[in-house]
Amino acid sequence: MKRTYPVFRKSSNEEEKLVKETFDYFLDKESTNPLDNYHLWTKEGKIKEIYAIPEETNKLLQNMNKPIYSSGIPLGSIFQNKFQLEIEGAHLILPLTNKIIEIKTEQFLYGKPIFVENIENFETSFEEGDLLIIVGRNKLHYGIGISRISSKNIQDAKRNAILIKEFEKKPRDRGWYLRYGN
Amino acid sequence: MKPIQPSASVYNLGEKYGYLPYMIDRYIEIFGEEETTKLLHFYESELPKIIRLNSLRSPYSKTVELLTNKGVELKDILGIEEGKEVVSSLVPIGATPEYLNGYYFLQGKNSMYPSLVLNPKKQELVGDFAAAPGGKTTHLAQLMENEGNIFALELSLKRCRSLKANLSRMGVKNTTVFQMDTREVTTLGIEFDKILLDAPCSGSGVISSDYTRKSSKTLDDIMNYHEYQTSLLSSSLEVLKTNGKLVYCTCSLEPEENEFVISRVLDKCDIELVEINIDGDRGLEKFLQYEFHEDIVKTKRLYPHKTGGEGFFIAKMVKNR
Ligand SMILES: C[S@@+](CC[C@H](N)C(=O)[O-])C[C@H]1O[C@@H](n2cnc3c(N)ncnc32)[C@H](O)[C@@H]1O
Repeated sequence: MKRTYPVFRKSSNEEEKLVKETFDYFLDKESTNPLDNYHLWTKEGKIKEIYAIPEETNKLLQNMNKPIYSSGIPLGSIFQNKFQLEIEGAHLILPLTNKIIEIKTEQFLYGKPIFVENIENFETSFEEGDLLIIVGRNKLHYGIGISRISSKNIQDAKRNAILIKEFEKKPRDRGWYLRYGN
Repeated sequence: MKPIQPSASVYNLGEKYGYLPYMIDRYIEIFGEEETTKLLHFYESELPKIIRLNSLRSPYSKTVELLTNKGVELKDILGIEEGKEVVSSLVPIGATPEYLNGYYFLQGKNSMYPSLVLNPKKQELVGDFAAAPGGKTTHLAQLMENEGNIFALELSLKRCRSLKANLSRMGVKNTTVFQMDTREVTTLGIEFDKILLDAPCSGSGVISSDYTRKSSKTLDDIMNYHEYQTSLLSSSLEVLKTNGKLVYCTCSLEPEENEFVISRVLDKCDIELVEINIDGDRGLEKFLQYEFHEDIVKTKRLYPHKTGGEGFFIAKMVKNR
């Protein structure tokens, strides 16, 4: 029986729009969008995977009707018409945004939540439900997560209140590479 | 040919450590009894822990500083700037935030040589035709400074996942992973400037990390590997450009997986072997009653007990037409 493979194709305009919206959310109006240097491609599936591909590769992949598993930088995925940023997409954004929270524990990397007491610093105010990039000491990238508490309420929150919940099965913290990558 | 004088002591050692007797026979044939004894003893020891620093994520000096501050003592490896031996460590070296950020890769010293020997350049189209989990692919990308293109082929869907994870972690962006059989690579319809074929092999060069190998493979298995490797190499050569370079390697010491494979392609393809400038033993001139092509000595054998690393065979060739 001939095997079928997921289609790997250039992203549609709608898909590009979803990805750009997330990037725009993180970037200042003035900063250049890192996506400008890449072409977006989509690997089809129930969950669509979005890749940023450099020009040189983009040229080669045109008309290549072959079982491509992945290419370039995996930015994130689209499910039910929502783009979800993943670690490497966040890594592209990291140098260009201030929506960053710095923490003083490595536990998040090993599948644990971030508690209020783990916060070292944050560069800008944020609301409940905001997506934040998480870094550790030395500004090392740890992952991304959705804040459950607004920055203005942090002072009054319990020290053991959960600020950001862990993601077990999604590549949203770098520990995923240990848990699922090997 | 001088007959082999079986010596009880080396066979006893082989038995004590759990080797199939045929393996001892052939190691004695390849490098004599004394070296065989050294090899068997060496395999009982743990290999040094080595990391490859990744310039795509962080300058070498910065990574060294970060690790040193964490209590990791590193030592240089002669001739490989990016390679460092972990002499001691206060932290689990395979789980630090720096590791998870791709600042370094855990990779044996000798397995860094194939990519260095291939010497890929920025603008080239490079094929890595047995790629997972990506130790060498990520090294190639680093040597190419993330430019040009790498097409990484891997048959196993499961192993494609770990390949993709390692490429992402190491910040590689010039690589496309194809889940496909390298024997069908001609269907891609393109030719490559350079190709690395780190062929699936019986693994007799890495027994220190897999003791089951002492008794898990028969001579028939090795012959099956030989056939498989020869077909992978033949298909790879078909898609190499004229004047293109190919590096074939295995982590096996068996001549059937190495010199015999190269001999067969030398017979049927218009290629030439290229001298490899790294330390190590030359390829075998003969094995049992077989005499190899005179150029086979240009290939390299890295013996574990002599190099202090994994056993490797490396051949580099150029395609004439
Ligand atoms: C020795 S390992 C490669 C190690 C890898 N080069 C590295 O440095 O991390 C050989 C790989 O070849 C894959 N393989 C086996 N047969 C293959 C085929 N016909 N086509 C493509 N890949 C194949 C195996 O699944 C395995 O992942």
